[in-house]
Amino acid sequence: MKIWRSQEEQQNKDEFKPWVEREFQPEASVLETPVSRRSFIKLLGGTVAIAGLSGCVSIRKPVQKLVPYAQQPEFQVPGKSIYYASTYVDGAEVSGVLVESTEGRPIKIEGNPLYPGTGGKTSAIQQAAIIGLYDPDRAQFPTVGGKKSTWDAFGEYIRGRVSAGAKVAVLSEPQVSGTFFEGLAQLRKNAGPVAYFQYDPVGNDAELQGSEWASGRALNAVIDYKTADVIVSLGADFLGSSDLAVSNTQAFASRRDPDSGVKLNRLYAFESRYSLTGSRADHRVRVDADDMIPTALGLVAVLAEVVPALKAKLTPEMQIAGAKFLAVPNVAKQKKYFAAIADDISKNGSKSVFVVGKDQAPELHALAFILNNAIGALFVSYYAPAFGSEAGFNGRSLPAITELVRQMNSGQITDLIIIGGNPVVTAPADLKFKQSLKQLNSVTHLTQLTNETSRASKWVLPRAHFLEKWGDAQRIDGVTSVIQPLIRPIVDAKSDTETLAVVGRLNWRDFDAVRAYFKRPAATKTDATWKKWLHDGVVSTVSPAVTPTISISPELIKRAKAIKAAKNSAITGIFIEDYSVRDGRHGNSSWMQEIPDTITKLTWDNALLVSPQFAKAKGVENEALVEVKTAQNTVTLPIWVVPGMADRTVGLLLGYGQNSGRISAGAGVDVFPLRTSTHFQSVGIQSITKTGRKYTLATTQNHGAMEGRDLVRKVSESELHEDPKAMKEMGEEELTHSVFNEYPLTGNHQWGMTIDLSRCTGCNACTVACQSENNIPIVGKKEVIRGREMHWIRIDRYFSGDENEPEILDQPVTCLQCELAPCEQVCPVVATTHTKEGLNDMTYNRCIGTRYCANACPVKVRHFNFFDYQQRDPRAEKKNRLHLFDAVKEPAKSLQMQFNPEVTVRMRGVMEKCTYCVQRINRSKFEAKNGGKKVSDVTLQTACQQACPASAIVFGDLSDSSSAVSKSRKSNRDYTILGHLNLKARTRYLGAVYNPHPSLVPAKKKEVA
Amino acid sequence: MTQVVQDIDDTINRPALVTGDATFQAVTDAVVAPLEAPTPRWWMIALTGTTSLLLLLLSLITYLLWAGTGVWGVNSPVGWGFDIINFVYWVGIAHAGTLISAILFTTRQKWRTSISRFAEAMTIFAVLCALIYPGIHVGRMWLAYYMFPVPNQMALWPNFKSPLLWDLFAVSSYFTLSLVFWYIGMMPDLATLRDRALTKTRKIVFGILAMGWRGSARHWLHYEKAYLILAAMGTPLVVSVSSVVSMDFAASQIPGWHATIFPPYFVAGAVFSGFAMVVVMMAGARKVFKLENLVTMHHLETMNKIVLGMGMVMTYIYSMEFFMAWYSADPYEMFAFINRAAGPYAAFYWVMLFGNAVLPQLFWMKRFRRSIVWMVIIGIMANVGMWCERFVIVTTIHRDFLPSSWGLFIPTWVDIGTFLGTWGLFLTLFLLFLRFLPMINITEVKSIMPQASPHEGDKHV
Amino acid sequence: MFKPFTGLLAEFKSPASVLAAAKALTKAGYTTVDAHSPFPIHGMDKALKLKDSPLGWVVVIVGTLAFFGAFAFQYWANGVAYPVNVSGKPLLSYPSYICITYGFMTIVASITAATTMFALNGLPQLYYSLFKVGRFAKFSTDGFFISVSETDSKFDKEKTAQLLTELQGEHVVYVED
Repeated sequence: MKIWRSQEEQQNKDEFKPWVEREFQPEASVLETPVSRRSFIKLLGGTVAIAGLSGCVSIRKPVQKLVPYAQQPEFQVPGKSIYYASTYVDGAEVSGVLVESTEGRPIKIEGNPLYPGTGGKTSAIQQAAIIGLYDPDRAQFPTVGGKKSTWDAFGEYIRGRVSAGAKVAVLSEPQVSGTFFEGLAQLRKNAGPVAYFQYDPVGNDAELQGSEWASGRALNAVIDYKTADVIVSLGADFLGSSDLAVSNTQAFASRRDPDSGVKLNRLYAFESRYSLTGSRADHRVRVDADDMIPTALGLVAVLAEVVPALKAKLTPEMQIAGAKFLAVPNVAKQKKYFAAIADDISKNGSKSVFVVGKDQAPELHALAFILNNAIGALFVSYYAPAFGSEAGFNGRSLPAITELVRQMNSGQITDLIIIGGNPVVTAPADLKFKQSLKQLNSVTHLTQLTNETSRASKWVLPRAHFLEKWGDAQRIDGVTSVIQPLIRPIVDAKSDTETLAVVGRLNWRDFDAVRAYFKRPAATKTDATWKKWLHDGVVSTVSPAVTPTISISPELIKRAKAIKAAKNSAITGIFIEDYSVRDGRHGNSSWMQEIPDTITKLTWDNALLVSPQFAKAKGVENEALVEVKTAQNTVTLPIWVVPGMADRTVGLLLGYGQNSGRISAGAGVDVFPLRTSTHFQSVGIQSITKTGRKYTLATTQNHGAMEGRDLVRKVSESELHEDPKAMKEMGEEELTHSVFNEYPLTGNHQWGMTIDLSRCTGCNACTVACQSENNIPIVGKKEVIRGREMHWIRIDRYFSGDENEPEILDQPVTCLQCELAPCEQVCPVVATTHTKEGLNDMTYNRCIGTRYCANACPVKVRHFNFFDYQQRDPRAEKKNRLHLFDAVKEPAKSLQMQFNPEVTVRMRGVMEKCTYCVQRINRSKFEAKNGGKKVSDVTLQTACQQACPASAIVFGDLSDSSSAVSKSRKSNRDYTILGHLNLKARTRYLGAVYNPHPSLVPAKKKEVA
Repeated sequence: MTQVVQDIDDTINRPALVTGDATFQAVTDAVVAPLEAPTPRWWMIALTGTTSLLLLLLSLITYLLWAGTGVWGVNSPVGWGFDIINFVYWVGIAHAGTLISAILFTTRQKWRTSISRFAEAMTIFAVLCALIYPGIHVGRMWLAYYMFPVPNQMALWPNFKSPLLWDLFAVSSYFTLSLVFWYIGMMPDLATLRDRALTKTRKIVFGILAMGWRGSARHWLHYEKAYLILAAMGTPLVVSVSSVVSMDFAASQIPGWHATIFPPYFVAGAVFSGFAMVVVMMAGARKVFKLENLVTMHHLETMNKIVLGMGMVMTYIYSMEFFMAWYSADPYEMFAFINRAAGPYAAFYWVMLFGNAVLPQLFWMKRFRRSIVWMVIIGIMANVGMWCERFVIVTTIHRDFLPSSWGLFIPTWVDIGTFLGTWGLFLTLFLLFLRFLPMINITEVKSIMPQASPHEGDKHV
Repeated sequence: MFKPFTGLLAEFKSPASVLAAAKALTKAGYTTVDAHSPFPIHGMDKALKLKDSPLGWVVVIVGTLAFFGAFAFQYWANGVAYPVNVSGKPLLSYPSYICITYGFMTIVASITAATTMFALNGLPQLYYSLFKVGRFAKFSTDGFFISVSETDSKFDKEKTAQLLTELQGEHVVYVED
């Protein structure tokens, strides 16, 4: 008689077969592949994580099996993290990182302090890269026509095509790796002339073009914001959307802190939208997108009067244009700013710098090049693109993709391999890229996530995450570093170079190639050097800067002549690289989708950004769906009113409306159809018509005004200098007297935090770092609308002043760790109590969820798990066991691998909040004790502090007078919010200081909004 | 003995409390009649309706337990919504019963006798409705017992500094006392029912409930003492329970919550809504059960006077709140009150003012005090107004200190359904009460009738 | 507490007559006289020379113990057994204990009042010999009764019955347990 374990088996059902064959769960199948140390550790780590998880959410603990190490892996101490240096690469963005690995699983990304410029800091997107690795939506195995296939099959197919004489081309995201081009060269040896094209929808095209017009060479400008005294930004968002945003922020913020003894720099920002950079400006000047060049020329005309060198370098056409535009009302109204800038430049001369945004017109870049050259700006360095110029496009994307489409249409290319990206969506709409693909014999897409381009491809190949591959990367300024893997590919993925190797049947392994590549300069070849590079994460900081001279091309003169003043009825749409998803490449990152935009505070969607005056004139309000029509196309978008937008400019946020997985599906509207190769930076809007429908947007902050409260305090540097108490006396008096005898805080350490609002740029890095460190779930759009987002540290953004010319005041708010915490006394079950070290602790196991503490919290930093958010993640999986209260789902197995094992995963009905990263405090205390040392600012950093590119967050021991946090308390900018409540908050703020030009200070002292 | 008591009490110039055919037997018959009559059609129909609502309550609680607190509209910043609004509301409704039974008993207000049982029943049912909420409003209901001081292996006790725990004790003491008081007060009447019982089931059930009461002088001696003590303890409870409930809010530092006026504010509001509710229910019940002789217009008018008085107290407090906010010169406090009157929830505020402060003023006029239609309208509006008041108070946190965290509470269908469900529970219990228990305290009514006095008898015999 | 009753039962017409009868019987030296009425009759305690109920004292003592016990327990639980720092408040923050102290006292006292009443009255006692008398059921509506137990030193079946009839008692019956 046949013995059967279930009816399915008895009936020999197909779905049961793999269970019988495998015996183990799918994630255990790694064991079937040849056992390696990494895979073994990975499996073990995963098992521990899952076991740990189920332990805290289940009522009946499932049976668990622990598999001991047969051989202890080196350096591996269970429960202790190991950090590896690697390099984060996202298109042209390169940044050194340290990756925390626990039991073989990379769980968190930190900045690499040894990496030049970034100071060991990271951006929000870099922090979120870790879940890109574990994304359950990742392409799992090669597919052909949607059916499962193998790499071997692909290799055979493509090599067959090559030998059949196919004309193969490669279209790639920007490549920053020398080994990649090495690989490409090798491939060409084997497979003939493989054409290479490079396309970045949010690349540096305009700058390369502009500098080429002005100097004859395509160059990237890199500015040293640490030393520049006067910065004039013409639509540049160098703190936000820039490949160097982290190092720029680090440098810029160091000049905004009067306590550090430096002279404050002064930032003038001319911009059409409200950008993160604009929010930091001392003087932000609203300029419509189509007024930007006339305004710049007007500025040049004024400057030419005070900078003789400039006059000499301007062509007559430019001078005439400048004088002409200075008379145009739209430009003339900015004269006071021109005068102030002229004054500053005449005083600071070469310590000033002009910077233009990458989403601005090339003409403006050319102008900035001339200006910087004329004033002899000391802090601009120019670099020719290291890679991507081999096809003759000088690293520029637009000509490359145009040429590619031309060649595809003319049959010069028959087979295309697309590396990364989503060109089907992001290529200029007029090129009709998707149609061109159809004419090809085969299209292959190497990608992490299956997106529109994958669906238009025959072959879809899983692409390795940067934590899964060996490689090298060179930053724009020549800093090179090694990409070191932390884990074997989780899916059946290959790196870009190994894919090329498959095509060319090369005997190629990334590791060897990288080593060989670095040996080539012959400077150092020893293993010791290699090991040091791996350890430091940095190979070379040799700067290949060039010193260009002005050489104005006729094209520029022609264009200068053609510049016309803008019509006052014209509406311009500008394409904005989204802070969260960029061009859509991070669209499936749940963390980035739920991060509120720094300026708009929108999550999960994009919108048509308009100014309040525009909304009034058009009779539209927030969330009204409108049809935006250009000469090319029409899209339907909801309105979002952003004070500070230029009135004739509407913002079109790129990167939404793409489908690269369950998170990105349905998030926002794709505005790429409006973007053409001729209107790549901005587009004339023919009409904006109301549809009469509404579309609900999810914002994390409904109210933008500070209502005259003293929450964010901001004074000018000179005011603070005249009256050192100016900041302290701005609001309600701080009370510190209790009517009862306070419970003594006897701990050896007394933790405290200071947040410097002068440094903070509101970039969200802290929020994502906290999310990564503390296993904070996403809640989804509907729950954000309900006001249930979970971020432990949030950034409050207030608009102040005139509705049309508002200032933005940012304030990161997290648990203030009040010594006399209003939340503690109201908890009926002592789930939140105070430690001897001054921490306001949460005991998750004890919490029953009365939400009383959240109500009593004056700053509303307590977040409640209204549902089991981990199981409501769209990627959650069905549980295979039954529990009384959580019977339905659990986080996808792969997402569980990212969880920090030192932090409890909270179930529903539990209140949670910032703990000052208590797990880090404790780890640091243990380590200090074991090492016989003191806990210091260096060994102990909270996740938010560690990530903050502006170094705005200082955390440490208040009882140690030498700690940075103790020192910050002595600043005359030190204040606390809601001080009149006698909270004795441990998190205090340093007020924002700005540095206006004396001629532009308003007569009356500014009130807080 | 079948004399008709005159309209004027002969000792003091007051309207008689019992009119019509007023023998002891007649009183008993009048009260017990509805219990012995065949089940009326309307009662069955009403019970079907209320039990459906009760079923809705049970299913929504199950759904809540299954899915999580998120099915309600609560969020951050408004962590409490319908749960606490309705909790406070039901506790408020409860207050009239205790006030009528306890305070009026200790102050020897004879007119209370006809309405006390009714009001006490309301108290108990309302407190039951209220008690549902603290249990289900927590995120992990299955751990709600952490709030009770029970010895445990963690050696951890609840936090006695938490107003929520005070609340727990206040409401459970209230429930305990009300139940004991109600039951003790009902024992002699249960004996009546036992002695009149026509069916065996009734005989057994009422026999057990009456505990063998035999009205002996020795029984009465201890009984009256116990009753007096319970009434004496109930008297401060009337004041303390709502005061403690108010501390759920007043003990925090939230503007609009953190106010010393809250305890009297809540007490006055509770008495106000409770009395209004008793008037509404009583006006209906006396009509349906033909108890006009026991619950006279004089009773209703007296209660209306209390409604008016409490309405005046509420009016005073509403204005005082504004004055204090202004006088405090605290911008947060001032904003909270302006926001109540002009913010997103202003409609609730104005309904509250209309129902609680404006409309009861009609009771200055005797015409309105003695009009059944008007007293029902005003009573219902007072309850709507009081519900709005609780809404206004609880949702005050929607705009507190940091404008960045401002948000709105929008109730979901589950919120509304649960509230309707508690009405189902309340009314179901009430219908059962009307059908199976004497709704008027027969013993007490008899004891205040003229012929109950041994001296009264002298004249006639 | 649960005393069986054997003795005489007489019915009276009004509160006044039963009160008068009770007075007369006590005057005659009877000590086990009891009256049964639908409501307490004013002056009956005096007439029967009943001692004041000790119930008040029981409640006061138990209530006081509950009051101090609750207070002490709260301090012990939060301040001694498992002291935690809550909002920086001192361990003995007595103002916060008031509500629970009072609430607990009320719970205990109200239950004590009820149970003491039951205990003093010997309730529940579902069987009582008087219930065998059909007319006795009237006591809960409009009947007024006097019972005299045979345990009374002055009890004499005939004489006492005679006396009861003289005192306007009707339907005098001898009830056996």
